[in-house]
Amino acid sequence: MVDPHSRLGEYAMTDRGDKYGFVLIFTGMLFAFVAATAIELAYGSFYEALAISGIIFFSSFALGLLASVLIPIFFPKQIGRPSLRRMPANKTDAARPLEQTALVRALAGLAAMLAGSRHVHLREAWAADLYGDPDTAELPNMSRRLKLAAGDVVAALRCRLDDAVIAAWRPADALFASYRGSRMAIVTPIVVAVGLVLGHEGFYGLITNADNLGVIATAPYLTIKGLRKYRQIPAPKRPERKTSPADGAKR
Amino acid sequence: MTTPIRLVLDALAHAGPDDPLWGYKLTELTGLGSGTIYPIMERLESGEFVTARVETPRPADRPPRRFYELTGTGRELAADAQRAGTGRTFPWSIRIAGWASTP
Repeated sequence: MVDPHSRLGEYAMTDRGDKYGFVLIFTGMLFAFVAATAIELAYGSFYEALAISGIIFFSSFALGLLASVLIPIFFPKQIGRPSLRRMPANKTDAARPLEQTALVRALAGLAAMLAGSRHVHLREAWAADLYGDPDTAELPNMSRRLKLAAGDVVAALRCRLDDAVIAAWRPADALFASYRGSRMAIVTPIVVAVGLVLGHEGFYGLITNADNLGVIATAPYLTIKGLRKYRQIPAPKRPERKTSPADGAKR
Repeated sequence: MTTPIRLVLDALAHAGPDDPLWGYKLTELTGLGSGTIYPIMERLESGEFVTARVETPRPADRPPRRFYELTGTGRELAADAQRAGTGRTFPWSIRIAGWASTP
């Protein structure tokens, strides 16, 4: 977690300013649905309603994000945050230069919010980065801090995207790692296809559709083999057959 | 392996045990932005190529840094990356860091 005693920590811990952005986003969504329904009722054009509601939705989403960054900067008092422009001039602690950069704090707060609970440890790392290298005792300049904070927002989004990709691959990985699962994925399409051809065209249909059936039989096999290689999953071994005492007696 | 990952691994491999790297230092050494560095570090950490630890004792005047170090597997990966990346030139900052750490 971010050090709650630091000003950056204080920002990251509160979400009062970001609430305004969300209110705008959800109001826009609501308005988009109402507008879409009204347009469809009036003109009966589904695609026109879809296009207009889409434009309203995305513009409200963009406005909401912008508001969550700009409101804490220009209206800190109204949302209950300490005013950034009235910092005491005689403050000499190391955090002071950060207190003056509202946009950096807003971006750091946005990054912390976007990163989510899985990457909560990064908040502290990002906050430490804004203080630069303590060995040189030089704080990064304003443009460098802005670049770092903007990079943190990108990092948060990319981390979340990575999480989503990992979650999406998980069931497929489990299938590739399972011998029975892979067999089922390969065999099921061809069995279904053969069943359908037999049902509709009879045995002769199997000969006339041999090329299509060949593709249906090989495509899942090659896809699974290729994806296994791509995901670096070793091919599962065939499970050993259980030998019963009766088998031994027969021999 | 992408060039940013190779750059990060190279920077971590050149870091001494008494001088571990953290996010800001990595951005300076590799020339990459923090938007690229942190997703890479998260991936390397989840793959156990890198271990991370929080700076101790916690400094009073600033948030503690998150130090990254290569694990045994990470060192092997870095060596492989260096072998595979022959012909590529690294930023001058990495080369200077390498020369500076050479006794």
